[in-house]
Amino acid sequence: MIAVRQIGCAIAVLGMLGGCVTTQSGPTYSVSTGKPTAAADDKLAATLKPGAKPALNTDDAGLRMMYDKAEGKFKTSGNVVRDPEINRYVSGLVCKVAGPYCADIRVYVIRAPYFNATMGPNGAMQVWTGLLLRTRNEAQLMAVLGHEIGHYLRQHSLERMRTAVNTSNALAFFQLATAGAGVGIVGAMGSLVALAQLTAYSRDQEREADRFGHLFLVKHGYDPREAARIWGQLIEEQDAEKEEGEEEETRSVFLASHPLPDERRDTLWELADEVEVREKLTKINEEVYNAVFLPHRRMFLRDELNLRRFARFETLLEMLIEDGKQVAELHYFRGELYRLRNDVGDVERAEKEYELAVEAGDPPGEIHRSMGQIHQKLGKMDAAKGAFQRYLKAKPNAEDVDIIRHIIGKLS
Amino acid sequence: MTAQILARLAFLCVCFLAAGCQTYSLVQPARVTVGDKLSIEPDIAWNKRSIENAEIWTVDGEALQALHLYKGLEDGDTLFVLTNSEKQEKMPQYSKTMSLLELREFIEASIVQSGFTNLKSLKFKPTKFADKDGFRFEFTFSNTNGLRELGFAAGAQSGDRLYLVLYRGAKLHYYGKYLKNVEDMIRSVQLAWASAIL
Repeated sequence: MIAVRQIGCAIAVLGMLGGCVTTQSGPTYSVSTGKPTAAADDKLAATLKPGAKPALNTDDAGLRMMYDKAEGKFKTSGNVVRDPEINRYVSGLVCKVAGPYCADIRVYVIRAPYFNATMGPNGAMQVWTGLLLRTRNEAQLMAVLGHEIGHYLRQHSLERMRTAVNTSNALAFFQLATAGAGVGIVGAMGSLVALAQLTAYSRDQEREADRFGHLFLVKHGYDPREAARIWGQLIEEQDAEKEEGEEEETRSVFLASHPLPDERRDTLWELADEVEVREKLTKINEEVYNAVFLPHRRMFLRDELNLRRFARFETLLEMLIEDGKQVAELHYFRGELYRLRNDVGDVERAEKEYELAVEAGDPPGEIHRSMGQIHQKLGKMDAAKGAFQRYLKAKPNAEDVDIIRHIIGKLS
Repeated sequence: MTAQILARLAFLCVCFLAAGCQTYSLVQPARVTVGDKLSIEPDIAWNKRSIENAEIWTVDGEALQALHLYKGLEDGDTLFVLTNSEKQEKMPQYSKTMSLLELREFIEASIVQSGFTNLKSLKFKPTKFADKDGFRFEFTFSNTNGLRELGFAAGAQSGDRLYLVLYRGAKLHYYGKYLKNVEDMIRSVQLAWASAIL
């Protein structure tokens, strides 16, 4: 009965939209000025006018309404990061890229430990914290934001929906869309991600968006090679995961699309090599980026650890340690990884990582609790007791001081 | 002929609907056993359904508040059983050698692996659970719709098993609605062989 109603509804919506499909070939607009421009002369020409509100009887309006509904669900959810500095920074970069389209885009930073960013045709953009943990400087983040904004400016979602309407996929599209498009994904943003999957970009659209990301980097004076480096970093993680047989179904719309990561990395390298003034484009703004995100990185790392994708996390930590920023917390988390993985030799590996963290200076106070646990496992009870006592000293107001005192009492 | 087809269709519809329903039964306010060893005495009526290693009780519906009563986890058991086999493989397994700190990590990781986010634990304390040396801690997390939830875990290891109660509910109203009843109930937990209780 429910299925019949859905099919009926889908057919009705399909019929309604079928009669009012608008054509996408039309005027193009400059991303710098928002004014009409010739697509042949402007590589960054948008098909969308700044501030444009499609007429209610168009398919564009219908699609935006579906995304508005999804946005309404997740924007008040507990997963949205409210930190004002993070929001100001990411929104500022979006506005820098989007220029006259800035007011049309709303940015939501979502606390979710996966490499992902999405852009709805209604202007709702999501940037997940798993992405912010992995992009290493402002240029890399700009490349991703530019890519997503490229999808928006070229109305790729609308194009995909129209393709769907014109093929046998139409019924599936509307059935899923009207069913709420819920998938078992992190938080309420799942419905938006599901919609994004329904309008999954084509190979050519991804290439076009990559080109937009690249051109935005060049336009604003950033090193365009950083776009390729992101893919290189992700490929390393994916390879490690495959080797360990840990590979799980990807949740990332950003990653799930074609072309394959290595092809995208190579194409972006080629594009960067072709830039005539590349030697002048050296800006990556690593310091600014780190000043915003390093104070929050411990939370991002904790979320990542909780996923227990050990091979992937180990590779990520290796890369971050090479960067040399706040290495004490990175060694601590590598110790946590080994302690929780608990394979043969991991107890010793964990102990070594904790020692490296202490040597590096200013590790998280929780390290003493973890060291206590490792010493206990190794049968070093006096050392365990000492570590737990150091934990109480370092974190006198921690929420678990009662249980730690209890454990010390038992060790005594 | 038409009536016969209609009757068959109606039967199929009923089967279809029934397959999608959870089977609940009523728990009266009196001492009841959960599994072969744990017994508990609710002071209000609850709805319950059974899963492999636990019973789940609720008054207003599991999406609003739920009490998980574990019958005694054994080595290799997981706290939750997920339908997605890949995710189930990552679900942490209980081990009788776990320390108190590891038991909390086991519960926390199980919650996160179930798809909940922003988990934070609070007030981890040693406590008595059915006269055994046990533990208790509270937690908050966001559910899959981004709604904030509160909860607590209380339990103790006895023999090689972990006896555990998990209570969770929406932060707005539903967690607190029956919190006192749940607290009183946990004080009533006894661990004894069922034959001794009956």
